[in-house]
Amino acid sequence: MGDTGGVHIIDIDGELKKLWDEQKHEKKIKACLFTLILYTKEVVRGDYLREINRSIIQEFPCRIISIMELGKDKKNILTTEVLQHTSLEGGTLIASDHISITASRDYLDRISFIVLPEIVPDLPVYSIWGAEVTKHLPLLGELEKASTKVIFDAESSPSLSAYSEALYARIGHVPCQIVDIHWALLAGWRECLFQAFSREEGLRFLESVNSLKITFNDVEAKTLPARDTLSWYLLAWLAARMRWNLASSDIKKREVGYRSKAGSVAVRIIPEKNSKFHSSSILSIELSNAAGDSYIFRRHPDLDKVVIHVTRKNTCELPFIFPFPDFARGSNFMRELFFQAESDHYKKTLERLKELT
Amino acid sequence: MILHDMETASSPLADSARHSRSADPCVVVIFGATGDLTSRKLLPALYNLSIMGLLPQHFACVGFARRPKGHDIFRKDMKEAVDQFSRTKPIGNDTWNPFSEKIFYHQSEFDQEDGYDRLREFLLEMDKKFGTKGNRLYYLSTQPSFFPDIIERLSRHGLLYDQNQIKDKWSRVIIEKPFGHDYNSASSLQREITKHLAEEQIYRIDHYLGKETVQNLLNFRFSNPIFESIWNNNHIDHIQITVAEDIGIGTRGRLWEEAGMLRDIVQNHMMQLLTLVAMEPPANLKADAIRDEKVKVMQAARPFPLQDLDSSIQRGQYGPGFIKGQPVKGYREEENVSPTSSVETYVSAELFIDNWRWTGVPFYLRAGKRLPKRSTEIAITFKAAPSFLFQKSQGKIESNVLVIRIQPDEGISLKMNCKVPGLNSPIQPVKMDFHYGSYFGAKPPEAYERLLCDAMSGDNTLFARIDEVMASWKLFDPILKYWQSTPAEAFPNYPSGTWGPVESEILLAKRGRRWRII
Repeated sequence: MGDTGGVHIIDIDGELKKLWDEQKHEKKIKACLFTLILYTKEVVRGDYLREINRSIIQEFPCRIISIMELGKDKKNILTTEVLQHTSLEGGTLIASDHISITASRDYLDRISFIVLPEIVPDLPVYSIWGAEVTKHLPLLGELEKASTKVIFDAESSPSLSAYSEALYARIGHVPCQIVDIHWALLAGWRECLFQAFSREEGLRFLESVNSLKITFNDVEAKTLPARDTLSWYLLAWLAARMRWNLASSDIKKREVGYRSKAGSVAVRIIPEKNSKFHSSSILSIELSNAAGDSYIFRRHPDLDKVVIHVTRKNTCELPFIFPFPDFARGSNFMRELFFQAESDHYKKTLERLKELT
Repeated sequence: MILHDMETASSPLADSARHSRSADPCVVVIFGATGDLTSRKLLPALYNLSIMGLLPQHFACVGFARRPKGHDIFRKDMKEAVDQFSRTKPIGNDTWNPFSEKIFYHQSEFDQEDGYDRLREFLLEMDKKFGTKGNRLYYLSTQPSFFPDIIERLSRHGLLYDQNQIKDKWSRVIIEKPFGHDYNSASSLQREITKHLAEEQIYRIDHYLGKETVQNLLNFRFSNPIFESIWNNNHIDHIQITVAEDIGIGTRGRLWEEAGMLRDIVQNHMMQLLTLVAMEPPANLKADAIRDEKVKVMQAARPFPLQDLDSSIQRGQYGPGFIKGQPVKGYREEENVSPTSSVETYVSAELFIDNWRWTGVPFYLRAGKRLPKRSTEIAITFKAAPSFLFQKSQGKIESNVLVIRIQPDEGISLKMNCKVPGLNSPIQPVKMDFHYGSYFGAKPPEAYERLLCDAMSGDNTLFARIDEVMASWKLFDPILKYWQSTPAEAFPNYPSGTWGPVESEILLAKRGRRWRII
């Protein structure tokens, strides 16, 4: 993205038409399933979100409008550029438009006026908000009005608790649906746990749990400042579904205590380093109860599997393998973001997240 | 536009299966020839007709205006205008020169008696030189206040013919909209001009009717039974008609202060679009058959409730804002606009047509300046499918929407629902999209080309009939009176670059609907 000074707003539609006319291919179509608006602020997290952007366009042809807000030290900059992503499918060239807007903070109020006319009518509009949610933000308000869904990113906000509170307040009070990147990333684990505990025996065990350990991959990654976020999400979700009530929390030590039907649940979130998996991914979940029963879920080195060990006081079952599709990337992730309906599970998870200070 | 039967075979070579009625030899006289319309639309249109071979062979054009200039200067000015505004470029000398030899300039004030005497003599010379047979087409590209006077003087100086008496030549007058300022002035104007002209000689222009896409409306509706069979209140939830412009009023401050959006766009262009969407199939494709059906729509339009007008129609005025990121001033800061003006630059309305086809279907109209983009379209939203078949997890089932894009990017699109490939995948809306430009290559003719050609041919299908005009004024007159007497204290009430005032959103929201994002 350019950050040369000054205001340079091109004739976006005209330039896109030129690019299209320049595509010399016998069979070409412009495909578009939706408009994707990406707003990023920080360089670090921005890279991750732009990477998501790139993977989206590979799966689904769409019109992308990416907006980058420059740092505080930059002033008087507002520029637009266009390009076209192309791919070949069965001899047909498929093109998708990409509009980039770069702005310094003093020009943020103009961005919605550039974005609004470029939304493709009649198709869904998805906005990825890669910035904090805790302040009054006119641009976010405009995007919420124009979007089918706004996708939020916990790591773009400084405080997970404040972030959850802000999102919780939005659900049902904004015109669009709310989606959360980490909620989408957690889909694999939620599905896995649901399958593992779907029968009565499993549910009884879950109700009796008094200890929970979640291990996450603490390998450093430039785009992930806080690597335990997903683990907190998992904890909040479990706590909400099992109706555990918060008794104590020490976020720095990553230790939390809950009261449950069966008594109490001691939770620890533990860092580990494993180069085979993405940074911040959950590596294992261990649940145990007072009777000595335990369920241990561990990511298998073959990345798309989870191995589940079930141990009871008097028996030790053979481990079984659960398919674990990678929700961190690709079409699964996209489907979670774009095609899943708003869930009450998510709202309750946010409620639990915000109480964790 | 439409194939006509040849009533008399003027040539043994004429094939009615191939040839539509051709334009008669004539002189076109443009009053107000040094104005904007002539440069931007009329002369480019005549030029393009000439290169398409659609101008009559025996033809001349005379510009009538008060500024002193000669034929050569006028031709030079017109060449520059055509060069700038023609849809076909570049303008070669081989095409321009033969055309320009038929362009002349006549200098006179509109109220100058001897100016009309000289015009008569000049036109007789044109007849001798170009064989135009005494046929006259007068285009009044002037302020509406001049119309009665010009027509009266034309008549008095023998430049208009009583067609009951004279059959071997014709005279017609094209009048630009608006026709009148309100119901009473329209009625008064009609009385004045019909002292000298029969209705068949009056061509009230609404250039929207000349647009290719507007004409395609009738073709689309009545040549595709798949759509006509669902074009009613059993299947349609609501219709949105949008005329959006991103430009402001520019240098037209003085004119706009007298007019406003309701007069400039809604009362004429928008009603034309609405009647074409809502009309019944005509008995045939003759002008009056079509216009009869359009009038019936206007007659069935439910009057706005006077006791609660705000619930059905809102006005807005743009304030400062941004258009595509560039700052623009508000209406009240524009040149020749009062800083306390209550003139509207935005109108939105909910209208019902009380007939068998449309009972209960709201027509939502919005027209505005300084909106985020330029777009004119008709969007037909169909009733949603019952959703009990599909699980909640498959997402909301969106309504089908048929969109007819009038301008820009002329075309038609249909929004449908499709299943996303995969197991347990949800339903996602997709669009089937037809673009005129992509399918048919060259740009379609401009509206004024068609309209001028039709006027020269004597085809008034695409011109507004007086009963259409009066029915439209009758509908909107009470609104105009109310707004005139009630200053808009909340103005300006929408920033430039947004889609209008909040009240406009409430108009639809109260019935669980939303304006389309265009």
